[in-house]
Amino acid sequence: MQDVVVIDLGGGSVKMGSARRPDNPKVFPNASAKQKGERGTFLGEAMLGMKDVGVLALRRPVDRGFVVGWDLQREILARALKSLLGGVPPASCGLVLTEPYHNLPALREAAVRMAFAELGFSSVYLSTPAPLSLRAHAARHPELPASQAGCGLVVDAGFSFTHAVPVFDWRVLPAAVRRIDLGGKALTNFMKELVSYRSINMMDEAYLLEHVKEQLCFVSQDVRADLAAARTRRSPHRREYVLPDGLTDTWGHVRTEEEAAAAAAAAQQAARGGGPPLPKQPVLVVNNERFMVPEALFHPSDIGMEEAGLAEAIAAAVQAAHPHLHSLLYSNVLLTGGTARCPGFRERLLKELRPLVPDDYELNIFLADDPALCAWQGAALLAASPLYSQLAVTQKEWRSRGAAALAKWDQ
Amino acid sequence: MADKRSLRSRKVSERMAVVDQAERKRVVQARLAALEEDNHREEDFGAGGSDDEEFEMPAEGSDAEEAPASKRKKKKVKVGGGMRKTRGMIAEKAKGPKTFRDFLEEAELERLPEGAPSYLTAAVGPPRTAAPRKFCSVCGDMSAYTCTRCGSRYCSRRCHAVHTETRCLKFMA
Ligand SMILES: [Zn+2]
Ligand SMILES: [Zn+2]
Repeated sequence: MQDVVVIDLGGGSVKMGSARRPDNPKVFPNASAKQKGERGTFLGEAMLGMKDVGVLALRRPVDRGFVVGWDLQREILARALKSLLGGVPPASCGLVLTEPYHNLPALREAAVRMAFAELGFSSVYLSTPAPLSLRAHAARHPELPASQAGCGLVVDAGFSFTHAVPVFDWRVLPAAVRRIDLGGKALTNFMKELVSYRSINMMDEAYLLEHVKEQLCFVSQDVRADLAAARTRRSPHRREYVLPDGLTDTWGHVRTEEEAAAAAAAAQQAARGGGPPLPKQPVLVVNNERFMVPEALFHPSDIGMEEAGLAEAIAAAVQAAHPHLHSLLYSNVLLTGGTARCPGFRERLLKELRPLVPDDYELNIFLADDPALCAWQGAALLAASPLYSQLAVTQKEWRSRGAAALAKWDQ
Repeated sequence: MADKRSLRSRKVSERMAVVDQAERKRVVQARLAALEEDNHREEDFGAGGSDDEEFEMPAEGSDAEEAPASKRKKKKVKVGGGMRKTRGMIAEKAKGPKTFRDFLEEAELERLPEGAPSYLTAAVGPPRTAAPRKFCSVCGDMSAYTCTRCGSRYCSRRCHAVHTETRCLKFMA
């Protein structure tokens, strides 16, 4: 059987690998980066090798969740494919590629054109992430009745936005999908704005801040209580992030208690007149930002967005599905996407969603084993199964029938 | 220093003591749009002969504050390969690559039949829960007060002082 390449094309990162090796996809930024004052650019996968991640100009092919910069996108993918496939020509491979919910016809055709004409694959299947994630989840929980029906409510908390996606019989119910226009990118930028105002100017450091956010943010279970705690002199939420030194510590790190104690001791020593003056290590101080940033996803109105939060979005999505499906959907809520990794995410959602669900319905919320990779893993399962050849469109069909050949994906 | 400050506040109060509702809304929208941007100040990267001209383009959706900078930059667009670029070409370049909004407009989704699911129908809509929660625009804590001039929230005398000093009406200045 021919190999199938699987690409989950996210706004923040690309997940790419072969269906034959489902355990180790590459994950790299879907962007190109340029360092201040330098001429060279780092393209996609090459960004992983950067030794200096401060002050970058980023270009992303994805705008608001949709690929619009097709030249850049093609370059990023072609480069990574070369190293993935070695000498194997793409023409001997199929491709599973993810596309956004409610993709625009022109952009879907652009993706197919790229897959065939530019990357040179022999066949392609485009799918949104949610049904793929559900396949990976069902493979781990085959005992669930919803798994057998290919049914679940997939929360896709991605880079560009957050979706509540009801799926039945492995198909998205398009009329019931609900979108919040807030994703990991906006949360990172929100954090950037807060710390720049309160601690150190990080306005040009979004790429680094994304990393800081992933290290330090958590979802509060009780915002009032956590704010009250953060207000105290010895806030349990206060952390110091040691910024990169440009030499050995590429990403910087959360300051450990030992480091803080050592610094305090050295400062005392210096104050008493002994020892050399301290080398100043720039640290970013964060406190309530750690939980007030992810809070925006649960209450977008906190930052002035007139949009419902995640729990309400899920309830609205289920409500828009056929009444017969409501109980099955609530029995199998699956959390995916990078933002779902934020500690406390599931617990908080359970707390907010339960009151919105009728009492006699069971509510199960599952956090995917690897929320950011879940869709890729499901796509790899599909790519390795006989289903692939049923769903894929071949280069030949595309050439003879054009856009009409893609219509089967919507049935 | 103190003189400078009082001069500034005098200037501001002459212009407009209180920012109206529409202006406050505009500021919130500009801030939300900034959350979708990739680079804070792309013009920082344009200088010094970039080998990639697209880096010299103004960020899409850059707000009015940045307009002077992008105008400056437009003049800087390189004339490459000995061929003079026409004004039309420069204009097209300056507009930057097509954005999602451009594609969305071209898709004319509003012409789909009533009730057909699309990007537009998927928007979650406003929250059902009543009033938004109030947090201090300076420290992030719960806040009980609203700045009478600009509508920002603050929690204490201390935060109000910081707000007045650093942010209040600054977007107007
Ligand atoms: Zn305050
Ligand atoms: Zn004010």
